[in-house]
Amino acid sequence: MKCVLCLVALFAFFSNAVIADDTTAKLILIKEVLNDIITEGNDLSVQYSLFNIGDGPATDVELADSDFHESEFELVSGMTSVKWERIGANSNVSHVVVVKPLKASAFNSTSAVVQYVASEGAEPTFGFSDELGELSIISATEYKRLHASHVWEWFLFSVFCIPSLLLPYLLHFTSKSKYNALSAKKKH
Amino acid sequence: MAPKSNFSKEEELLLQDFGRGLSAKSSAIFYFHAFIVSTVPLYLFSNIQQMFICENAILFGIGTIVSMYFISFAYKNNKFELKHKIAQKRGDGVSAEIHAAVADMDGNKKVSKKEKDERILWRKNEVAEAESIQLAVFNTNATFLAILIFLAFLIFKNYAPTPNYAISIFVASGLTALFSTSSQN
Repeated sequence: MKCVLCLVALFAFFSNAVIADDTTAKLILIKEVLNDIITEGNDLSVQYSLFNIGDGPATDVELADSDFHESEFELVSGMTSVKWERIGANSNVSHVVVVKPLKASAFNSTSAVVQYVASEGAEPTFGFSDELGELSIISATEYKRLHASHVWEWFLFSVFCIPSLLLPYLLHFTSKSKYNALSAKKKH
Repeated sequence: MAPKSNFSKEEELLLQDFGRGLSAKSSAIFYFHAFIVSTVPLYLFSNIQQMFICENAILFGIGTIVSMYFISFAYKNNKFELKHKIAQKRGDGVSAEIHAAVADMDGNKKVSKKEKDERILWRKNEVAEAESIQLAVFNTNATFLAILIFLAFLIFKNYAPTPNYAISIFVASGLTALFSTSSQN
């Protein structure tokens, strides 16, 4: 009986030890565009969020996104290649890159890549973010046409309408008032 | 056999004054206003719809000319409809004006009733002509601009700018001319 109990205790100790050594990290990378409308010449914000859903820490984490070529985008802030030494288990980090599109066209957004070491001594693991697909970058002219408030333009238009609307009406009204007054005077 | 005309000279003159023909001055006023009201919307299309004047000069030119034609037609019709109504309403006021003017004249010079009536008729025609021109311009311009803004910036707001302008200007000016042909008895 004592031997059985000792064996059971030893087994439990070693199994826990084995489980404690067998912790691995598992990273999920989410890439999202923060803008509702992407316009040529205006800032485009892209957020990368890394979630470690594994039991262990992820080390030597490297994030890279090759979508934003210099010929098509100007980097405003942030980096397209980022490194973290360690992302703990059940924790997350995020990074925002701000770029400025230089051309108005359809833009095909591919996945960002993350490389990390899931457990001590393991080979690097690669992961990919979601693909955003084709994004439409509208020109500044189109943006102004669709989304600007145009308050000043409507105000100036109403001023320009004065000779066409207000002046003829005032002339007619002045004459009408004059002869109505004369007519009323005659009746009395 | 056609009956002999029973109209007096004054009545014939009255009929002539109240016909559809326009004097040179009225025509000039109408074309000037038609030009102004046809070109003012170009500001909206160039600044809101981002249609640059240089790039769309031909389209704007054709649209302006067609719009001017229809609007001038509408002015003429509206003026004809309004002049008769205004002349009837101004009768008392004009007659009071003429009587006051005659009373202010030298007392020795008596003005016959016939001459007074002729003056009243002439003055009534003059006042009705001027007022009907101004009111016709106002009514036509208001109708045209209201229809144009409704079409271009509400109905066809999300269309491409070029068809938006073409359709809006032609439909607005055409409808304005069409509405002017209705006679209100």
